[in-house]
Amino acid sequence: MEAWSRLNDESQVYKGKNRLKSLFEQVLAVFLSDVTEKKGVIRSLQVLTGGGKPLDLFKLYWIVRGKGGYDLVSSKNLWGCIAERCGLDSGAVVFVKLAYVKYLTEFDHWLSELLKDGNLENGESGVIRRLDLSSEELETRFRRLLSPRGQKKKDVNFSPSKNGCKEELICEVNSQVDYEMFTAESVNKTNGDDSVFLVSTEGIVEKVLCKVPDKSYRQYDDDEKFFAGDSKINKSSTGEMFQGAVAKMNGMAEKENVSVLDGYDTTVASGKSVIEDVTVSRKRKRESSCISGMLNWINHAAKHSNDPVIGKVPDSSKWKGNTSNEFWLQALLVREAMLKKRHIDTNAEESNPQKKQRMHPSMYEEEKLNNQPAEKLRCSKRVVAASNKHICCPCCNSCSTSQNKVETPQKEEEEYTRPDLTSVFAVSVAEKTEDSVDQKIPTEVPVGPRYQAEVPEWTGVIFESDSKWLGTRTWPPEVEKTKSLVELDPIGEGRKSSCGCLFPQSVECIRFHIAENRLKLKFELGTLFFRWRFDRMGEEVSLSWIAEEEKRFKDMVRSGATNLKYKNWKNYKKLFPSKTRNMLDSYYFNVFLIKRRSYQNRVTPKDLNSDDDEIDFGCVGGSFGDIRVHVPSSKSSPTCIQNMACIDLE
Amino acid sequence: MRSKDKISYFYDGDVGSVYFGPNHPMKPHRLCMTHHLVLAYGLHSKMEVYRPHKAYPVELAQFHSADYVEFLNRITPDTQHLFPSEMARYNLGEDCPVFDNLFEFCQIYAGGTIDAARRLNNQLCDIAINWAGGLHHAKKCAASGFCYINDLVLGILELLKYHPRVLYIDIDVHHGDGVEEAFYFTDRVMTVSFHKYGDKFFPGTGDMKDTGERDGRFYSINVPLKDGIDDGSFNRLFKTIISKVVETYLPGAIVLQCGADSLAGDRLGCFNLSIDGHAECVRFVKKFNLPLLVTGGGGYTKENVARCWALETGVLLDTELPNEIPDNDYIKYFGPDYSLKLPGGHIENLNSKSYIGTIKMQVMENLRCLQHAPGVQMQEVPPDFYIPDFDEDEQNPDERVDQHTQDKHIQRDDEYYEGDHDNDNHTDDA
Repeated sequence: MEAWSRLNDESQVYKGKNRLKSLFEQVLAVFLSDVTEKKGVIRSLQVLTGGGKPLDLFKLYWIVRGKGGYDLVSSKNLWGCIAERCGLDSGAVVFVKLAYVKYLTEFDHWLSELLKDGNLENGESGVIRRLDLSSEELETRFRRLLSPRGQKKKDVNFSPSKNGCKEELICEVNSQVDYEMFTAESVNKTNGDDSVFLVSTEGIVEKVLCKVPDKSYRQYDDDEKFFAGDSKINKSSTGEMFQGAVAKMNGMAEKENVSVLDGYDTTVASGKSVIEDVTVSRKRKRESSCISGMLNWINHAAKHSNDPVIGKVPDSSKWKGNTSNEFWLQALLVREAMLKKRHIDTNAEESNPQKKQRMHPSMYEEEKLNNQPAEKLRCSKRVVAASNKHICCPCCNSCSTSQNKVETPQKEEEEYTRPDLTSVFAVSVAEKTEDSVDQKIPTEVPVGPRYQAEVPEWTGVIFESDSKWLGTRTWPPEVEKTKSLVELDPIGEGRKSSCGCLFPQSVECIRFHIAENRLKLKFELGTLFFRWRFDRMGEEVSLSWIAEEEKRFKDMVRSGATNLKYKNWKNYKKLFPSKTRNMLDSYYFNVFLIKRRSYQNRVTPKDLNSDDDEIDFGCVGGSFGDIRVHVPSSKSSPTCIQNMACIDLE
Repeated sequence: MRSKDKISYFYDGDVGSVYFGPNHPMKPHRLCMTHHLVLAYGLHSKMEVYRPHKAYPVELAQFHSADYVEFLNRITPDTQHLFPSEMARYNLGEDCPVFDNLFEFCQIYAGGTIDAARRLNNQLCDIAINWAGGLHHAKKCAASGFCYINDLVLGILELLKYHPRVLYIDIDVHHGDGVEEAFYFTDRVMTVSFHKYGDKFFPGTGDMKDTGERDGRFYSINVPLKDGIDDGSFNRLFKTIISKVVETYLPGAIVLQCGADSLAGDRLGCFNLSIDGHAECVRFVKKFNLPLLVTGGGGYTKENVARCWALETGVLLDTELPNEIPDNDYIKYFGPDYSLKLPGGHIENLNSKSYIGTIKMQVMENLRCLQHAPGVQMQEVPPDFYIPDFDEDEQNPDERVDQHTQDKHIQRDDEYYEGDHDNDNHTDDA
C-alpha cells in the first residue's frame, strides 16, 4: 500500500484517463459490433491511417467533444487542428473526419441520447445488455466525459438526489454481493486459485474504497492505483508474483509459491477483510459505482477466463502500439498468468488431471453443521439468481447468486445467508486439507495414448458390422397376435378429456383409468409386460409390503434425509430382512416417491420435487400427508381397490 | 424426404431398476418412466423395440483400457474398500459410485448403443434410439460425471467401420468431454457440443479454443454458453452451426446426444430450454435424413426427462403427441398439470446478443479453416455398392448437382462438393 501512495497525483490523473480510455474502447467495440450486426458491415476497431499508424479513437472523440462536438467542429472548420492534436499531420484532415463520421458519430449520438434519459435502463438498447461490464460505471464515467464544455473528470458531479440515492443502493447491494460471493467461494471446493484471486482482489478494492480521503476525485483515481500496482508487479508477468503481491496487499506475509492450502488461508483472511471493509464502506455510502463496476469487471475477467467479450491479450509485439491501453492489458495479463499457473499446477500434480472434478459437489457434504440441507440453500439462491451476472453459486456450481440491480429481495437473501457464514467458514477450513486436490480444474483436453481412442484410417473398405449382435427384437412380437382390442386406439393419443365415469376426475375415476390402461397394455404386450418390468412399476409394488414395513421404510428415508444417509441405507438388511436391495429401490421409486409427489401435487403445487432425496418433503404434519391422502379405513392396504382388481384378473 | 423412417428403439427392463444410491442425482429410474410414457402414448406400435445384448468386456475394450474394464467388472460395493488406489485412479466413488450390478448396467447401455450403430450400419433401420446411452463423460481409463463406459465412443467406432465420417452432436448442458477427448486427433469424427461453460461448471472443459489437434484440428467444435439460454437463441445458434457443419463436413452418419439437463428447471442444469425447444434440435437433425443414432444423456429432473424423451421419440416417429398425458402408473409424477409440454424457464439469459454473435462468428471461422484445409478424407473413393441415403435436394438447394456429376452417380454424393478436387481429378483422368 505504501507503494501506491508514492505515486504522485499527476500520474494518477494520467492513469485515470487510461482507465477511461480502455472502458471507452470496450463500449465502442460492443456498440460497433451491434451496429455491424444490424447493417451487415464489419468494421475493425483498429483504425489505421494511410501511413499505417493507428488512430486513437478515444483521443479523437475526446478532442472533438472538447471542441463542442462534430457539428461545431465542422462549422468552424477545425478538423485540421484536430488532426494535429491527434498526432497526425494536417494532410490527414479528411481521414480524421471520415474516421470520426464512420466510427464515432453514431456512437456519440447514441451515448448522448442515453445519458439524456438519465438512466441506462430506460435508454436501453441491445447494446447495454450486451455489455457484461457494469452499466453504472459507464454511466458515471461518461456522464463526466459528456458534461458540458468538457468539464474535467476530476469534478465528479453527481446529480445529487436521485443518483445519490441510487448509488447508496448500489453500495448496499454491492456489499451483499461480497458476502454472497465469499460464501459461495469458500464453499465451492473446486474453486481453488480463482477464488484466491477474486476474493483477495475484492478485499483490496474495498480497502481502497475505505482508504480514500474525502476528496471525491481521489477515489476515482484509486482504482487506477490498483491497476497501477498490478502493472508494476506484472512487468515480470508471473502468477506467483501476483499471488505474492496479493498477499502483500493484504498485509499478510505469504510465501512466494502460494500452495493451495495457503490459498485457502488467503481466502479466509481476505474474506474477513472484505466483511470488515464492507461495514466501513456502508457508513460511507458514497459513490462506489466506479468501484462496483470495476469489481464486476474483475470478477468477470477472473471467472470467465476465456470470455470473448473481455478480449484476448494481444501478442507481446503489439503491446507497444497499445501503451495507452496499458491497464486493461495488464489486468488481462494477470488473469492469463494466473490461469497459466493453474494449468501448470494441474499438470504437474496429477497425471490424470481430469479426475477430480465433481459433477455435483453438494452431494458429498455430509457434515452439515445445521440441519439445513445444502440443496435448500442452492434452490433458494436459484430463485433469486434470476438476474445475476458474474457470481457463481456454491453448490450446484452452475447458477449465479446475486446481482447488482435487484434491491429488495436481495436484502432478505442476505439475512438468510449470514447465519451460515460461520459454519461455512468452519467447513471450508476443516475440509481444506483433504479437498486440496480438488482445487485443480482441467481446462485443456488431455492428450496421449491413455486418452484418445484408436481410430483406424479410412481405407474405403467396409468392415462388416457383426450381424450376430444386433439386439433381440422384443416388439412387435414375432408371432402376430390378435390385435382386436389394441387396434382400436389411435397412436399417440393423449388423455381423454371425458369419460363415462360417475364422477369424472375424481380419485376413483383416475385410478380406474390407470388400471384400465395398465390392463390394456398388459393384454397387448403379453409376456413382454413382465420382461419390461411393468409388473414392477407403479404403486402395485406396495402390495407385497405390509403396512409395518412401509412405515419403517418411511422412517428410514426420513432419518436418512437429515443425517448420515449412506449409513442408514446400508443397514437396510436389519430393518427389512425379507427384502432385497432391489425391492427397496423399486418401492422407493414406485410407491414412496409417487405418494410424496401426489401429496405435493395437492398441497404444495408450486414447490414440487421428486428428485431431491434430501428435501424433507415439505410436509404439513408429521408425515408427508399419508393421513390426508389415504382414507383411514384403508390403512392395512394402501393401494387402491381398482388396482387390486387388476391383479385379481391375472 | 422419405415418408416413413424405420426406427429401432432399444430398451432393457433391467436398466431402470439400477440405483446409484440415495441422494445421487442420476436416477436410471427415469428410463422406466420414459419407456412407460412412450408406451402410454402408444408409440411402440410405430417402431421396433429391441433388447440390446450385454456388451462383452472385449467390446468395451475397443475404446476403454482393458485394465479399467476389468476393474469395473470385478468391483462390487462390498469389495471397493480393498482397492483404494484403483478406485482413485479410475475416479470411482463420489460422483461415480460403485453400486450393485454396476457392470451389468454398463453392459446394457453400451450394448444398446453398439447394437444401434450396427443396425444402422447394416441398414436395418434409419434411426436408432437408445435413451439409456449417451454417457458422454466417461474417459478411456476413468469414470467421470456419472459415466463409466462411454457408449457414444463405442457406437461411433462402430459407425466408423462403415462411414468415413461421423458427426457427433451433443446438446447436454454439460460439455461432451469424453467423446471430444477420444476423437481429438482424428478428422473422421467431428464433435459439436453445446454446453454451459464457465463458473467452474462441470466438467470445466469445452472452451471455444479447443478445436482438436493434429489431424483432428478444427474437427472439435465447442459452443460455450452461459446460464439461461432460451429456445429462440439456442435454436437459431444450433441450426446455423449444424447446417453449416453438415454442409461442410458431409458426415455419413450422425450421433445425437440428447441430454435432458439442458431443459429448464433441471436439478443440475441452468438453461431455459422448453421441451419444444429441445425437441426442435432433434427435429432439425432428423431432417438431414442421414443414418441417425439418438441417445439420452444427462437429465436430473426425472419427470422432465421422461417428458422430453417421449416427445422426442414422437418427433423421430413424425408423431405429434397431445399435451395431456394419458393415465398411467406414473401419472402422479407429472402433476399438478399432467401435461407433456414444459414451459421455458425464467432464469435471466446471460447470453448477450453480442456474445452469441461472437461464438457464431468464431465457429464459422473455424469451419472455414476446415474448408480450406486439405481434406484428405473427403477424397476417398468409397466402394461402388455404397450409395448413402443423402438427399441433397432437401439439404442443399444451393449446391444442386450438375448434370455431369449426376451421370456419374456411382460416386458418393459428398464428392460433388469437393469442387477443386473434382476438377483436378478430371483433368488428371483426361
